[in-house]
Amino acid sequence: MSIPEYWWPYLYQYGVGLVIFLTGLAIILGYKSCVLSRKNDRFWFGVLIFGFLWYAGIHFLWYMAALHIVPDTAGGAS
Amino acid sequence: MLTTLAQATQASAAQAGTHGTALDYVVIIGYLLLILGFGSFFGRYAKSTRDFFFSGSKFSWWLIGMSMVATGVGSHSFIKYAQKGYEHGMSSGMSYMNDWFFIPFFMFGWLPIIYFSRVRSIPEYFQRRFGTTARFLAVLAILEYMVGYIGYNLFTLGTVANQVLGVEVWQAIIVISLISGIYITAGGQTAVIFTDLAQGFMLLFAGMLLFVLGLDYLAFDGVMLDGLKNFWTHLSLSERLPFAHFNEPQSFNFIGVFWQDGIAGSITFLFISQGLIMRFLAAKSVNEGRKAILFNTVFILPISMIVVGNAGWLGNVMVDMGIITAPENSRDIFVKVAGLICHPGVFGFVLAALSAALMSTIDTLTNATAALFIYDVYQPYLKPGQTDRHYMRSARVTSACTAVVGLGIGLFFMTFGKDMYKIHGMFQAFVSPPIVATVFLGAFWKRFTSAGAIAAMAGGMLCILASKFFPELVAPFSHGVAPDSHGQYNYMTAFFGLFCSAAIGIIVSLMTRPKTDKEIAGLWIGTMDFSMRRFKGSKPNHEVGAKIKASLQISSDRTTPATTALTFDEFRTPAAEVAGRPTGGDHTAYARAPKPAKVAPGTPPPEYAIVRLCENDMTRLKAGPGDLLYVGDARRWLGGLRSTHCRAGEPHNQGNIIWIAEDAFKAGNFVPGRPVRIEKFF
Repeated sequence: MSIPEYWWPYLYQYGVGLVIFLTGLAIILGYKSCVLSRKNDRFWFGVLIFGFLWYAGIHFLWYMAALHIVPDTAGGAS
Repeated sequence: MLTTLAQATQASAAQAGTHGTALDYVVIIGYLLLILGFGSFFGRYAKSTRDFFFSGSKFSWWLIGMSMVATGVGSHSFIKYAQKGYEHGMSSGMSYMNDWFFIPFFMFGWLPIIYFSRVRSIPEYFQRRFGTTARFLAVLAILEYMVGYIGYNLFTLGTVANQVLGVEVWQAIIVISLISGIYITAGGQTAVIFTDLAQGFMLLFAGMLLFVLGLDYLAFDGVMLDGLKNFWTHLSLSERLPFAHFNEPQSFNFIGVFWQDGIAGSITFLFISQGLIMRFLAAKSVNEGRKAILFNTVFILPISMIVVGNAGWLGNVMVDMGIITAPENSRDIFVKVAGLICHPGVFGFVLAALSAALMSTIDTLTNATAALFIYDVYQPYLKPGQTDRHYMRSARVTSACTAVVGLGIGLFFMTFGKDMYKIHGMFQAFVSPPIVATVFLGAFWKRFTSAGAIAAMAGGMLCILASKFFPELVAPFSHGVAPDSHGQYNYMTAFFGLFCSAAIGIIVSLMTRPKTDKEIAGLWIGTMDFSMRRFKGSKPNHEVGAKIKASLQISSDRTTPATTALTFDEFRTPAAEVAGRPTGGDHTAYARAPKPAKVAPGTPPPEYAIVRLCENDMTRLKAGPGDLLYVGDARRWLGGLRSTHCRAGEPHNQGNIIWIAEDAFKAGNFVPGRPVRIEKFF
């Protein structure tokens, strides 16, 4: 079963995006720019994860709405 | 109600055509006068070059975040994204919602690097990280970009004003240049931030109002939900989806926008936009900068996407429903829809919002261009060693001159029209990817050398130039996108340029000798601990304390000691600290006289006034003598306008009072008798 073409952009954006994002996390943790033992850094690390999920979630819900919410009737101009 | 209002006035709007009514003119002129007065008011807060360019680095996240909105959305954004929305539906907003992937690099990499190293411009970073040649290349490229972009924005607004209001293009360019030039010259960055705050609210409100009025119009005599239903139903599936087709058509597809905007554009915006960098340096702390980018990216960008694109979506639906005829040129859709659904006066307000979008972009660019000239040309080469007062005067003169030059270029664009725009765009396509790749590698790869940086910039530009003559070079990056009628892969050129620049930079770096740890300390991500210690002058105190309120009292003591920055050698030799340097949290160490140390090259010493709080307040703040504090007027809505950075001194036992020297009191623009809020940084 193939994935419908309209999902390709979503999968590409959050696939390639995830690689970039995780590389970023690995760099900031590896170089100790973000130190998880510090309360402040821990908070911001959580924010970074939240931001990724936020956008992935918004776009997913948007897809669901576009695909499944189609009102039966619509008014006309007349 | 809204329907009745809109439809009742539709006739008059249509009668007025696209030239507005008298009420529209009153609204626009009133707005321009208000913003002129509002911006000029902040002239009183610019007392030094640090105030003029960085607002004293004391503003709250919401001021920075909100003003970023107005900077990011230009007047052309409304026209451009409405056009894309009309042609392709809701995927017009793709580029507003693909910026998060680089935020880790920004929040914990670039932002602390520039903030703690006190870099004042992107070329200054190039100087310190790579040397003079790299700085020279960066100055040329960034100055050209900013001045050209001012001219381009003025030209686009003039074109819209001509189309909508019937005024001559040159008249609009002159009026807008004069107004923004006057308030920037008076108030500098503070005027930019506060006017952008007002303009940001205005353009968001106007854009959302347009959407609400449009949905209401589509509801006919029903409730607005019917309008939403009509709107949604008359969009096809592909027009409802958040992304365009993967790689078709050549002129607008997902993959092109992702690499050009989501990758190249995001890094450009976050890493080499001088105006944006200055905005973050105006934040009171790195944490406030993080909050600003969070607020902007997570909350404001999705709203902005609706604001700039909705007129096109509505136009698409209206054409489908037969309410309006398709415009001859899809660029006209914004004006056509706005003219149809807006009440006279409201139409003027929407046009004023277009002006707001333009002015808020231009003022940022003008202030940033002046900063670049002062810090990268005037101060190091033309007039080194002058007083701050002298540089402050020069900054004002430069701002005025930049406004005049921008005006000239706007008029020049008007004369040569699309050709100039194309040349400017082409030049940018050559220089942006190499500079972006260079900054990124410099900040995140210790081994990146000066030779690698110069090779990345020069080689990257040559590769992009070669791709114009041999477009097939870009084909391997095209992801199946067809070339345009000239055989060019426009969207993917940025990706190609980034790849080539980075590859050349890496190869050359591996073959050349890197700088020593000491030479690049604080300029790449692996030295953040050092950066913080140098910024503070002692060991950072990372304990998170409470924010407290206290009564501010003026002390007669001289409380600004000559503390200086920590050098890299001292950082690597802990013994230096016990030799008399203050250490956060260590009361006894600070009780001794601070010992001046050598200052790292290019790093101004952190001169913070000492303030004294009671022991109880110090405990609640979890602060010790020597720690960095922020003292601001307790009225949060001021956003830090009346505030200052200080260093905690020895505690007293006189209750909930904070003692501050008179000069620091004046520098912070405090009001006698007003309570203040205090927080510890580190």
